Amino acid sequence: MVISPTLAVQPFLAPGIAWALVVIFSVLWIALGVSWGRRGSGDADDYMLAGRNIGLALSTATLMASWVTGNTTLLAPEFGYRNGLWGMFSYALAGLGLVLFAPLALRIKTLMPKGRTSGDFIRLRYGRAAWWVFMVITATYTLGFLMTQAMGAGILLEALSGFDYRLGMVVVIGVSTIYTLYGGMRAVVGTDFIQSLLIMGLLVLVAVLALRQFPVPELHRALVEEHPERLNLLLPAGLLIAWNSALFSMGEVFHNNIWWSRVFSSRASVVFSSFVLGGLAWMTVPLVTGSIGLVALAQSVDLPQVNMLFPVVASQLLGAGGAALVFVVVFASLTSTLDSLLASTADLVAEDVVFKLLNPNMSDAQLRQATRLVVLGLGLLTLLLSWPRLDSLASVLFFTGALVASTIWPVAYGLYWPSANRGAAIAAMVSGSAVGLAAYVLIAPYCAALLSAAVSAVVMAVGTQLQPERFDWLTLKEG
Amino acid sequence: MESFAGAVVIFAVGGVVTLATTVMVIQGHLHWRGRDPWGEG
Repeated sequence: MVISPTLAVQPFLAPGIAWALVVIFSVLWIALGVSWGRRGSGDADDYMLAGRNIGLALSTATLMASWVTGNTTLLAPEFGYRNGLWGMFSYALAGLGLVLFAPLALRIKTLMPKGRTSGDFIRLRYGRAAWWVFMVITATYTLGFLMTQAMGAGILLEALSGFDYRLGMVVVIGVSTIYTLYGGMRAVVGTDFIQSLLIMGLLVLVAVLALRQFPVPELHRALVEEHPERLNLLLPAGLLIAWNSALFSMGEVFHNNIWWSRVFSSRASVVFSSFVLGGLAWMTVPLVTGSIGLVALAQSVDLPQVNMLFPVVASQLLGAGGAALVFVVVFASLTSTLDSLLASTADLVAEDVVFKLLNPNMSDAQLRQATRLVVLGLGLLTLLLSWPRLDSLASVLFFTGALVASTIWPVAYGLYWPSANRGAAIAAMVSGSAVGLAAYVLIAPYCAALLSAAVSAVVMAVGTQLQPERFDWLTLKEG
Repeated sequence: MESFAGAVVIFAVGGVVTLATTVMVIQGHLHWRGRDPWGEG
């Protein structure tokens, strides 16, 4: 079967089917989230960290689901389409962030048995000044991430089903906020488990069906004849982006409370394995969706919007059923990422700002209530910020790469070496961010994370060698 | 930056930074394995 070479941008799903899918999955997520949230002891730790008792299967699934964003399902095919093999490999390297965080997760779990947030670690390890720098970085990144997911939801649902941009956005944010608000981390982890199974299962189904209709030898022959440069591992465009995803992802995972909250939520015996397995499982997603990009390339599909490549190919190859599968995958990807962002960011704000900074005498019940209010506030703030539509979401994300990559070395160095210097940590985050932003503007967006991490690493290592500290690890126990 | 030489430089710098970070994390992990986590190391 040959895909029609000219395709207009029009909804892939009939409005009736799209509405039915939205209602079914919205009701399912909310019902399950609220139901799971009623279990447990009901204290702040239970709401924020699901009782710190998550096992291997749930922990792996929630890591994988949270890391599969709308970008993974829609930007990875574009990477494969534009940059060939390097596009797929480069995107898949973002799984390295989760895999490499596994040893750090084990150390965090050991050193901070009562810890709740990444902010706790920075404050106790490097002091309040470093905490402020860190909070500016993480707040900028988190708001950017929330906005890109919310806007992505509106844009994607509009393209897939014809929904109005704002309607799609309100539905996705609304559903995620409601079940996170009522169920806390327990609801997030439970729904993530089902969402991850849906995402993996449906993606494999789409890929298998696509490759049955267009077998690999045929795909390879077509690419060799029509687009040999996309199979060339020395393609300049491919070399330029090769390490960007890996370093960007390390910055995201090492610093952000989404991943730290998973460490604190999981049993000590499973943290290492779950991050390794979650990262490896995640890597299959861009490889599968990226291969869809290669199928489109081999078929010489004319795409008016390259970021719509996955739904275009799925609906062309598999008909209305394919479009419905893509819709479910995208809806699950968006809600699973947004719920994690809302829950972990609410934990960070409630614990680090409301409790530790503003009101240290707060009771456990008050902390739980504050966390719920922050979830609601963040949901509303995201809605407000995403109301005006921006179509350059990728540039917003690359911008934050300059900031988060500067935290890689301060975080990892500070977890392993007592000599890690607090002044060096601050200088590393500030100088790395500044150089990364300059590179973003003056060189190219894909250099931002790379140069930020490089400068931050040198400053951290040299600063520590020049003036080593003797940090007492027991300080972290109180966190 | 689209030239081959420029691309190779960026690729090499990215590879070095990624490798250095990976080595640092693995070195730290192996250092603390089997030791008192609260000790001086």
